[in-house]
Amino acid sequence: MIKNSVRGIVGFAAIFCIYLISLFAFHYFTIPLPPALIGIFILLILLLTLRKVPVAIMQSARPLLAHMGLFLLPALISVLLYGDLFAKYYVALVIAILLSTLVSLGITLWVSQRLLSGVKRAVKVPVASEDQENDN
Amino acid sequence: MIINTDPIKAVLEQIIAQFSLLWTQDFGFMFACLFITLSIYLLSRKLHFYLNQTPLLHPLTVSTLIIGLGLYVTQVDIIEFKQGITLFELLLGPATVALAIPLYNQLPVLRQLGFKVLAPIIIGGSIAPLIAWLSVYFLDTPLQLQMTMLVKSITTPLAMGTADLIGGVPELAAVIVILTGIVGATFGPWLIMLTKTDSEYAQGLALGSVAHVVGTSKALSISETCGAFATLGLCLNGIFTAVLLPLLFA
Repeated sequence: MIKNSVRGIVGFAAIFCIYLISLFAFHYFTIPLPPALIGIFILLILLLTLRKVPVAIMQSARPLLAHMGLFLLPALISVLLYGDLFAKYYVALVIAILLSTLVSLGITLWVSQRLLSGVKRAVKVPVASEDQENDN
Repeated sequence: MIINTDPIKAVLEQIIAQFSLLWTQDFGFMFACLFITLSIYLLSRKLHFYLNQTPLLHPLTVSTLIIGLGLYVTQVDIIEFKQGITLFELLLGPATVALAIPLYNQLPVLRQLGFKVLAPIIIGGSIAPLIAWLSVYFLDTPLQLQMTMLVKSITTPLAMGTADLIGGVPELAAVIVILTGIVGATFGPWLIMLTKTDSEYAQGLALGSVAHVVGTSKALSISETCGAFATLGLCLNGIFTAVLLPLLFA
């Protein structure tokens, strides 16, 4: 238990450092990418070099990913500040969201069915563990 | 050799300024806000699980509504409250970085299937924003809103960062993205029947690349394999969109 907490803290410190580095790179080199995406690339390169996910990073990533919804709440709440924009254009927003999501989901399903229906259990799918139960 | 340290200092100050709200405000107020937000979030999550995870009562919509209503009733300023929960906002960055882990875990699938998984992701990832943009364009909305629409089908944290770079509104992006996810996950099973998609790989890939994380949790309720493909769709579409849009519009 304590061991896992320590691992979690070390892992979080590592992820946080990567994020700080990506923030620095974003501002200093004015890279036109969202800072967090730069961080994703750094961590991905790190994992590819190590050829495995260190336990500490796994341990801290799990709660971060599972509760990403909590970290999104500030943004969702501040949308109340844009209330008038919503009130004015909600019809357009609803139409755009419904139409684009349904049509593109339909087309993507159709295309991927054509491409992937032949692939039957030939691939070994690494089933990712609990880092999946996030909900945002 | 003399290195000019001024730009480095300026950048560091900029980064520190982002975090400074954590220690410059009233701690009592901050902890109260954090505690309230956390409780509401956990409660709505419980409710969501209790009601068989229906996408219509997504914890994020429920908590936003409860908090919004609470702020309205108690007359607390939204900006002040938002400053109170800065800690959660700041954790979004590291949490997004952690997405590299599920992506790393799914890389073998990408290596084995290559084009067969890339094509649907690219198609879904470009059709969705295109249709969304066309509809808001023809419905005569401000440019700000049109730019925000372009990021609608990628995972929220990346969508917010990208919207910021291309002249959209990050907060609005968050809402549009969540709504997209809810629509996708609600109508997903119905569309799967309609298109007679029986391959779990295909179902997962489509749900993940069009309806991001909300779609991924729907895919996980179908099967773990389906969820794994959804994760791949979610990560890759997020990366493609977040790389391409700023190059095109920033």
